[in-house]
Amino acid sequence: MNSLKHQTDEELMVLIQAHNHVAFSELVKRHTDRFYALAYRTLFNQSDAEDIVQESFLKLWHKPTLWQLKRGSKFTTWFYRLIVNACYDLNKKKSSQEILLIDEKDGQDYELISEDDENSQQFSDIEVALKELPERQRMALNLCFYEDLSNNEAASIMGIRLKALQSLIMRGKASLKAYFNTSEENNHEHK
Amino acid sequence: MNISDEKLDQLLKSAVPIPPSSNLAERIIAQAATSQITAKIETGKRSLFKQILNNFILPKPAYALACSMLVGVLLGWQDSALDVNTIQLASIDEDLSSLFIAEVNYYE
Repeated sequence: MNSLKHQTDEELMVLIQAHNHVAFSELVKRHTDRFYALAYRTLFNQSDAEDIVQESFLKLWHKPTLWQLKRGSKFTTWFYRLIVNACYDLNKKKSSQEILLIDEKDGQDYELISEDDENSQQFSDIEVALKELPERQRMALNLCFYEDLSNNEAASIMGIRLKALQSLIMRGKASLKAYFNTSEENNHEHK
Repeated sequence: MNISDEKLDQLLKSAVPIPPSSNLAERIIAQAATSQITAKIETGKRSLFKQILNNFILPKPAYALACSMLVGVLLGWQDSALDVNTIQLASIDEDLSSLFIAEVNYYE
């Protein structure tokens, strides 16, 4: 068990491909918090983020050959991509369900539901500002700022070019600045 | 009034996610272990059936379909080329023989 702690993620993945449950446990313990943080910062919902991490790890356990050493990608980069795609899918699913609700009930029930969601969890100003950003800008900021990944790695995870990523980060930061500037102006007006 | 980059970075750093349930990792590990046991039982029961079935599964169906279509087109093209040659030869033979018969009939 101790020896597994010194092994790299990629070495553990090779063991997992041979259905080594101990290696899988080690990998899960090593990375759960980090991947959860990314999922949470994308979805802003604890249970959804936990579900995403759980499902992704179980997918890895059931189909470990999805990751291939020969392709040369780091385990973390590959798994980040898995989490990012799962988050995108969940957001798509949720937004389509919301549209259905609006269609069915002419908007009334949807407003009630979304208000309930907002009230059930308290968000700080920065979290509200991040929530308002478009999905891809938020993801770019998450990967580069919070996960401390290089721009190249983040671009490869998101499946976009480096310039596109840089532009997303710039636009994201500009939107955040604009958000805080307007909220500050509003505060001054109220005073 | 403009917010500086440093201030924005500070604000971003202040956003700490709600920590996950304390047993999230344990839950994932336990669930993987249970699914492993179920998988083992399943393989015991259906191993033969699955082995047979696996022989029919195409790893990359799109490539397989494209290749088989290509082979089909090539074979078809070769066949039709052969057919054209044989048809042409046959028709020339038929023409010659009919001409010969016509000539014989004429003289008779």
